[in-house]
Amino acid sequence: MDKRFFENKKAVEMLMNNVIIIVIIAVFFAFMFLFVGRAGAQVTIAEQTYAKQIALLIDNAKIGTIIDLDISELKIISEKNRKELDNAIIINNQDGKVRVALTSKGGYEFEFFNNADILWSINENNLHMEVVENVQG
Amino acid sequence: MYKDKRVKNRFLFEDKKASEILSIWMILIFMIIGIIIVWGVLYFYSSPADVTKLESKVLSNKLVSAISENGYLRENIGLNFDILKEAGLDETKFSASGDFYFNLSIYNKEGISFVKGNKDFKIQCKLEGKGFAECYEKEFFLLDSSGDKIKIKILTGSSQQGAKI
Repeated sequence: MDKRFFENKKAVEMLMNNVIIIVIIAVFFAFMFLFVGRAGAQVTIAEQTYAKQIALLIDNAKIGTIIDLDISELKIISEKNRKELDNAIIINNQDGKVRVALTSKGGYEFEFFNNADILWSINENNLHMEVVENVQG
Repeated sequence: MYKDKRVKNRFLFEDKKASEILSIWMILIFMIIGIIIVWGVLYFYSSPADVTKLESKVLSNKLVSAISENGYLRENIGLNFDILKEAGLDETKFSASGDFYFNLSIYNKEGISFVKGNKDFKIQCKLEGKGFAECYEKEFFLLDSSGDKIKIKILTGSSQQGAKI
């Protein structure tokens, strides 16, 4: 850049004003992006989404179906909240309910109407479900 | 702007009048943008993910599987046909005050109809707005053993919203 540019007070003044405004705008939008990103990764949303997703998968499944659901997102959230992933998901065959709790307090519960029994286990990043016939009828 | 005596060769922000005008407008615009974004995000994430329509559709598909076999109406369907057992549905979820409902009508000679669950949904299905059951209606044909067409009509509904513990 021309050295004379910096000797020109008006030019420097204009540049500085613009830089200040750009910095303010950048900071403002950075905060906005951070806010939106954090809101999207909320525990309550993940609990609700996964509880409903698992219940719908069970409802739609026929006897003999085997389902492997990727729950790596839940693993990250539960680790952040110091909750063991093994205890984060509970499928209760007797009540026909799916419970997802990613913190020590609270959680989300959703019912399924499929009469089948669900044999389930959590392996690393997967929720493994096997739909078997309900022997009690 | 720079011809203005008030500004002279100083920083824009050093000129009180100019900086006041600019900062007020800037703050106002940023506030409006900020409020709209925050409101939009909170509104989007606070509204529950509604899967009632999907549940009604799944329920409808299960009922179709229970009464049909390769496009034919099952022969054992009569008044003693246990639709809940055949469709693999949990009886306890289809109580009169529950979150689910179905009405399956078979327009054959006998005119068989199976109705289970919260009967109030039959009216709620026609209503629009929050808090009412979401329904799914399906009409199709199956063949009987002699190859005649039989009309089947299924109406299913769900109002399950889930629960925070």
